[in-house]
Amino acid sequence: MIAVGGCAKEETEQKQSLQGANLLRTQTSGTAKHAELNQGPAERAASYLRGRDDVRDVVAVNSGDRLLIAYQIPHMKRWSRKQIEKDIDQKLRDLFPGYDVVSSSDLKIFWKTKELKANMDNRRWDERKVNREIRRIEKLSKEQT
Amino acid sequence: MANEKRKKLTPVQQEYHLFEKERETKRPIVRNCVCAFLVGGIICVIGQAISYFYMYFFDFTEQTAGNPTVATMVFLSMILTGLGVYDRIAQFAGAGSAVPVTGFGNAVISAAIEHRTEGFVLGVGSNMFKLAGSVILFGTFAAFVIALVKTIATQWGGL
Repeated sequence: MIAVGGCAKEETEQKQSLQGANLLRTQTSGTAKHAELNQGPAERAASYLRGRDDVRDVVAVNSGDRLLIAYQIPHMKRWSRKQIEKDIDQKLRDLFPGYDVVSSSDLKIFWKTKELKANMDNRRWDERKVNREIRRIEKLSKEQT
Repeated sequence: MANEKRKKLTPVQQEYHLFEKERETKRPIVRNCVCAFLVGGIICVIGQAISYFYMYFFDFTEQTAGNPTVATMVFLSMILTGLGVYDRIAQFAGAGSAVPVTGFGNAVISAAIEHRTEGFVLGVGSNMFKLAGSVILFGTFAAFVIALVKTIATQWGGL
């Protein structure tokens, strides 16, 4: 019952994410382009990651000096997940030196970032709320226990 | 039986050994493997679903969802053992039900049930971890050895 309940309320985008492919079919940019905040850095980070063959789906947002990037690693490449994460994090820090970069391959972070991006796209959230959510996601990504 | 040992047997014992070998029930190894694979796989699918449940409805990440998932799986197998359901699953699945973490819960509760007639302290208390104790010991030891191998491989092996 718990197992069935766990899958019952998943939104379409999350289902797509679990299945792997075509997550960004409806929105090809993968960034909150239409939000009031300038999403240029997030867009560049997303397009860089989309070009890599060890990344499946990407979603990125930025606000102020914070750049939050969540991505999915293809299943069979998860053997070297730590190495890929380390490499991507280093590359993003080099590409965006003025930004506080937070990158994660965690599925929960991906879902949360996707949700945040959707809220930014719909202009439902202001900058303060976005910053607060980014900080919350950042804290969640560093959670160990 | 190893050839070395068989050589030491008397002719009568050897004759009996052959007699026994012809008549003993053959173990259905392939069938057992298939059953273990299927049931073990189903247990893992349930575990994955519970993990997604915790991630979706609570603030657990992929990394942190492991702890409550393991606790839930062990708890469920304990309940099923107490109700006598897990024993039936184990009879069908063999290693498929013993190897996943649910086997740990089964080992704890089945030992507790078996020794409950000896009292709560000297019966249940002292025998509860009779089976599970070895799981903890060798699990910890195996984890240590694997961590050692990984450390050596990453530090000096260039992996």
